[in-house]
Amino acid sequence: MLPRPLTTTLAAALVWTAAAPSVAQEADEVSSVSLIAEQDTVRPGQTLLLGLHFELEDGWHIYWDGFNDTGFPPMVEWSLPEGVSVGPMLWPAPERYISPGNILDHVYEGRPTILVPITVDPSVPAGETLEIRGEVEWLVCNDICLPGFGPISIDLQVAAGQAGTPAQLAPDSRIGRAAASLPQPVRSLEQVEGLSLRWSDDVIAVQVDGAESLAFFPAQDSGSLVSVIGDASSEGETMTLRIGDGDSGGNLRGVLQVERAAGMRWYLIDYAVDGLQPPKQTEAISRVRDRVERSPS
Amino acid sequence: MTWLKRKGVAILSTVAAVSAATTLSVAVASQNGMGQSQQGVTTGEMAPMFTLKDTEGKEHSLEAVLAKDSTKAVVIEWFNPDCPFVVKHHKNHTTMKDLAKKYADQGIVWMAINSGAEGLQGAGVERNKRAVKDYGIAYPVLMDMDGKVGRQYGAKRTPEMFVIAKDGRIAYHGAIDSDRSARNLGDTNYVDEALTAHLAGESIETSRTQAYGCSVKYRN
Repeated sequence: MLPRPLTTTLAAALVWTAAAPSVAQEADEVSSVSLIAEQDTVRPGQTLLLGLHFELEDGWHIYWDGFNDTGFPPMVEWSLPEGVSVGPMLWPAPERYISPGNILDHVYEGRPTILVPITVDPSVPAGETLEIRGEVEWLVCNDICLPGFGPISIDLQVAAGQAGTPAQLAPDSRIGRAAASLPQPVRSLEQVEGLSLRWSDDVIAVQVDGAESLAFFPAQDSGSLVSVIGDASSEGETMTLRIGDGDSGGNLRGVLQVERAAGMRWYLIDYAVDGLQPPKQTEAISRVRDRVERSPS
Repeated sequence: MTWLKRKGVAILSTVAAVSAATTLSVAVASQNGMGQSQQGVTTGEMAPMFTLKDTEGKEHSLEAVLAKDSTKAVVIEWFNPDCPFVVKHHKNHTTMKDLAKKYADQGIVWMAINSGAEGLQGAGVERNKRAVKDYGIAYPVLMDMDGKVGRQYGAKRTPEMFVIAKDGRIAYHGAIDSDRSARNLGDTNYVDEALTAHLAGESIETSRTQAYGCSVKYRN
């Protein structure tokens, strides 16, 4: 057999190098996840806030649990000790993220914390150590996406005594920050200054007097819109959402982002033809939001 | 408009109507442009015809493939060899390969399209040639580096699946299966179900799902 000409081999090697990504990256090189708790002791009967806390390198994002063209939100498979139950995760307001090709996602950057309320049964004896364990699967992306998998864990000591009034959450703590950025559930228009909603045949008109910009982030189970990317972000006081026809003529569900001179606020809405309905998890979210320490005014 | 109204001349108002209509349709078009490329085509609509070259430079025409007597339907799979969700179905599991093989002798023609722009992740002829070899792909991987076909279809993710019936109508559009993660297979493979029903002449129960995966790496 003739030896392969060196030049061909070299050329092949060069082509290969050029085409291959310069550094093979793993998700844990650009993101990390840990389980945190508002405190490390818990009393029988208490509901405590845990947080799924991510630290992301600049330019990388993870996904919100709502309308997204790509990706998926972090998922946890829990291993819980007896007497501990975990409630649905509570998601802070995300940001719109648009990629070339009109691809729209709702994401978190930086150091997001997703809240996880856990409840300890009153029958759990004091003195016990509760080992909370889980396996997280997440997707972290910038221009490219990397899948991450990893274990999370935290140990909580069961203290004696009754579960009293929940303590206030410091707004500068990671859990407190996440609690403060949960969208406020809206049961009636009066709760949001200047808000009006109008549902005609095929459009929903959203108006917030005095707003500088508006955006809407649809929930997974929202009735469909003709163009989330085109309609659901708007300068000024008004936003017109065209309603998609077909199978999903359901309620408009999701997060309304309102930018005012004073800053950004987020509202959770569930809007039907005949008016606002209490959004899902209103109780759980309100309980958590109410615990954030208000700065004295 | 105001100016024309003030003039109130019949012929001008006709012009006004026309120009208003034009402006309106332009506005709608540009809005739709967004909606269009966002939505593209989906189940029940006609698939845009295309001719694209595979990694070996051979041309493939959708119209010609559909016109062949032996073709019962065409499956199009949006592809990027370095997207974790594509890796899931081509390397961790052999979903695509197995399905393509299962239906190959029943008149189902399978094609992959990579709409990634040169220089972006998983794009370029050389990278895809290697992928064809590494993943053992027996069907053509078509290069759409300017993203034209991808945008016509409104393909946003890899993998995103289209099943195109003999008459050019889209019979299924969406995810390959029911598990949106980057490692597990779903209990239901929608394309498998769609092809089985289609070949049996039955209606496809789930003909539209939301695809999951990475974004298609279009150039802005």
